[in-house]
Amino acid sequence: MSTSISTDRKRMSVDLLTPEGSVFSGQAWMVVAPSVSGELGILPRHQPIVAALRPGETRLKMLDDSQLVFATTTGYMSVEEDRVLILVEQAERADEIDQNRARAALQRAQDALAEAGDDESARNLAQAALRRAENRLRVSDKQH
Amino acid sequence: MASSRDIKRRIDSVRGTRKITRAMELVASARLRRAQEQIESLRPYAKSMQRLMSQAARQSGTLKGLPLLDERPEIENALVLTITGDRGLAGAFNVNVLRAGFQAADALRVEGAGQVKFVPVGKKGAGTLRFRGAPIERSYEGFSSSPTFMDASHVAEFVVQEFVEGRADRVILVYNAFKSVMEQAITVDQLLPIDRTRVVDEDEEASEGTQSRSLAIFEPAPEELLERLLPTYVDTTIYRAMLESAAAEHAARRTAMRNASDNAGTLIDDLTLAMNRARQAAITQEILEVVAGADALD
Repeated sequence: MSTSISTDRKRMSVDLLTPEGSVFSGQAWMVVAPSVSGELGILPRHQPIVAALRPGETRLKMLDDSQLVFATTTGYMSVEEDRVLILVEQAERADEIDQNRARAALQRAQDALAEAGDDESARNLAQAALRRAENRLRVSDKQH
Repeated sequence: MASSRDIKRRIDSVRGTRKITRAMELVASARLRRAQEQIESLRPYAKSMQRLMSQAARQSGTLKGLPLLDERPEIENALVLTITGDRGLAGAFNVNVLRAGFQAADALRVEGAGQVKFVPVGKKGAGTLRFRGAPIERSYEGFSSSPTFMDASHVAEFVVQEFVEGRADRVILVYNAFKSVMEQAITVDQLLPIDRTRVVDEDEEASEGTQSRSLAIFEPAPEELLERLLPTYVDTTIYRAMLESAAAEHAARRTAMRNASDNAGTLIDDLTLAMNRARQAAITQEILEVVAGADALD
């Protein structure tokens, strides 16, 4: 089945989707995503794989050798016939993260966590928000 | 008969109302468009997730032991999640959802549920339920006209927790599905436990490429991945219901406001006619009086 794909091997089509819309759709020659068991690098002709992702940074090596970095939350990645599909709750380009907003979000999450008390679902949500905010800051810091 | 001045005053007041209803109609149209775009944006994610879920389900040996699929023989406690709007003036939109919600609660009681509680999303639903004295477990409001995925996952997190820890044995979702601009359909769905057939089945479009698909490596194992995917599925289901409800609400409001504007127009025409008649009658009366006065002088 893979013989029919293309003569150019250094190519994968990558889709980065969130429930609120597509964040990236295009071609890349390498994808590095944070799976739950460690960073996972995908090159063209990778065998089919489905992985769970943890919050972290997802990097795309573009065809012109530039690199696109996204702060991504928990989600899933599926690779199939040189098509990489990344499904996450939120994704933001690292160079577009507003540090002040991210810090404000972190503060809000900390407040919410302090307020949650013994309400378990509120605490889970606050912790998730905290992880997301920390992740965005971490990814953004690395850019500067 | 009302004097022409009284009628004039009424016409002005109806004109003012028509201005407001027209403005609301325009606002609802704009928001409807946005809500429809949001539904479109969700579609690729939802479809891919569904496909991933059925792939994981097929490759995992068994569906046993997954807490969100746990079909309990005895339904002791149940939750009814109703999605309404935060605002009124949308015709029968909110009322229809609640009526279906009460019916769903009755049906659960017939099945033997001892306690059925409501989880209203939207201010209007919460208000009506409170007024009717229905038991409310928890309510959410403030995002009905343009919900985000995070709003949905807040609600999902709560009901999943209630279900997993045995405080609820079944969760029913009631909302207005958006069929088209003119049509909304009340939908009553079982949210938890998740219907097994939905986990395994994929929609026809997605299954087209099935033949060429080889077995994938799973990391973690398919069973474990499925356990992570199911809560995401609940999030997505609730998010989709909220988006559809938002679109349906704006569509219903637009229709209601268009009717109100049309009615105001008819009313203005009728009143204008009555005013002209009253004015004419007054003039005729005056002429009669003048003529009668002149006659009397002769």
